[in-house]
Amino acid sequence: MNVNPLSPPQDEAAFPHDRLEHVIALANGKGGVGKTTLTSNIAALVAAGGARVLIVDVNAQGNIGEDLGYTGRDEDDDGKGLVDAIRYGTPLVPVRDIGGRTGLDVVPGGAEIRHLPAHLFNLFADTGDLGTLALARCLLPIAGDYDLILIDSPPENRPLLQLVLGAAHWLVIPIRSDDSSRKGMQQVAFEFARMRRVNPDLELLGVALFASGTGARRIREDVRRDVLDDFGGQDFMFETVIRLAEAPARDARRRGQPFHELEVAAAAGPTPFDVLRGKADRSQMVAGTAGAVAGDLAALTREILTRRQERLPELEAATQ
Amino acid sequence: MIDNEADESDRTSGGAATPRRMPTQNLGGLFGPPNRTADLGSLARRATPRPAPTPESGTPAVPRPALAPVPPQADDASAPTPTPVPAPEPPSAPVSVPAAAPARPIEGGRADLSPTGTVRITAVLVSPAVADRLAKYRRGAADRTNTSIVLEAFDEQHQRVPELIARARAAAQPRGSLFPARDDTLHLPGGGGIQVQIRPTVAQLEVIDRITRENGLNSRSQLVAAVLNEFLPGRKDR
Repeated sequence: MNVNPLSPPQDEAAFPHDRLEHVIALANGKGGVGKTTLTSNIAALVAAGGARVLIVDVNAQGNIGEDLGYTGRDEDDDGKGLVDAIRYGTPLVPVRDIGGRTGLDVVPGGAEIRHLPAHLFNLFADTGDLGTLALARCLLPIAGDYDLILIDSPPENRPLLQLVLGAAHWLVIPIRSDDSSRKGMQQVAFEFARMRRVNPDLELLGVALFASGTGARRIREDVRRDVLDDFGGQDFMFETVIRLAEAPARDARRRGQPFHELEVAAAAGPTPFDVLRGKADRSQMVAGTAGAVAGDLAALTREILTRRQERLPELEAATQ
Repeated sequence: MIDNEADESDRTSGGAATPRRMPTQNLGGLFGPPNRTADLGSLARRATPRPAPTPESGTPAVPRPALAPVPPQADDASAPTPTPVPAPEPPSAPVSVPAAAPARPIEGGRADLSPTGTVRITAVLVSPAVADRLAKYRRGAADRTNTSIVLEAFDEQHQRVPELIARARAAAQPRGSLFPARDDTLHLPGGGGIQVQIRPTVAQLEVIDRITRENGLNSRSQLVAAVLNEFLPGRKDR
């Protein structure tokens, strides 16, 4: 079935948002706060746990491809499939089992996404707020194939952010400890409130602190307090903090592997002793701290999924 | 104090101490790699089942759609060439072009956005069996891509292309008819409705297109599918 986003807008109340209950968007108006890293790693972890997971990369940089190692390969279409689906209503067909990872499918992003905002301005002008459901409409036919769908959103791009929030049920906001990423969080909050008129099911799932030093306890407490204040006393922060670890972060992108795969590679790879004895090259080594970051990511994933499971009955009860 | 008591109990009646043996424990699991994902799959699943997609809206997750629409065989409305990409463009090349004619791609491809600009992303339509064999063969080596396999297949099989086409023409010949079948209804084994994406360079694509033209075909996709069918291990389409 072709889902044509240009077709006359449906009645807002008739849009089956409940069929997208398992869609989580990661968004922050600021770049470099961990949206892509969290998206790729959470998705890969859940898929490795046996579920079927889809990543939708709404990002012109297409960094999900670097995280999962498919950049420049045959399956990397630079986002054209996604752009065509939104512009022309062609079916959204994900790349299956990306990089041989069973259960992990991807709709790639990339340079083609740059063509999308200009189209969206026209679409939104023609169809009003309901145009922001274009991605949601594209996802509907395939959403039932997945246990979880994660959407990586771009920074500082309002029309694309609206598109993402129109398709999501849950929002996770990654932040770093600087004030700029809190500003980015506030931008998302304003857009969130606006998008709720079109997508009344949209809910904030939580805020995740990303790349914070393990010794920076006071900074972490300050961030938690600031975020608490930002949300009027409601505690949306996840307990798990993803630690700052530059070496494994660099290795992960260079090798195109999520951290839990990197952890296995580090255990199987050469040791510093092998390098000293000339048995291996330094470039073959993988940072040993990958396992610690993988542990953080798994804990955060567990927390996100658990919170979603806890919130669902509350929301269902509230709507009955 | 506890140690002393234990020592007492371990002494034999003769007063001589026997060596104590600590019970064996399986600690291997404690030092093994942590299983970080064990419970995450089940956590992702909802307790209540999600509404199933309606039959008309269900899109099976098949290999991704063509980046450039690949036209089905010309004038062949009856040929089973399902494709997820609507509104295919008509073929843009003549059936037969002299070899000296300026080479240009037979079917549209999308120029890559890489700085070199020499890669052209395009797609071919293959049968489900060929798609499976291709995927299996690709997994056989880490550096294999769809593109490298297609080029390898042509390197190995290009001399057999005339034979493949002759065989297909013979098969298409209506029994008892004086008239040869039209070439535009030619069915080469290996073709189908599954789209496979390749990224050859413009120069590589020109070689494939030249072979296509030299053999009087008007569809690059048809030829690539047939060559893959002959090359890939496994049961061949007939």
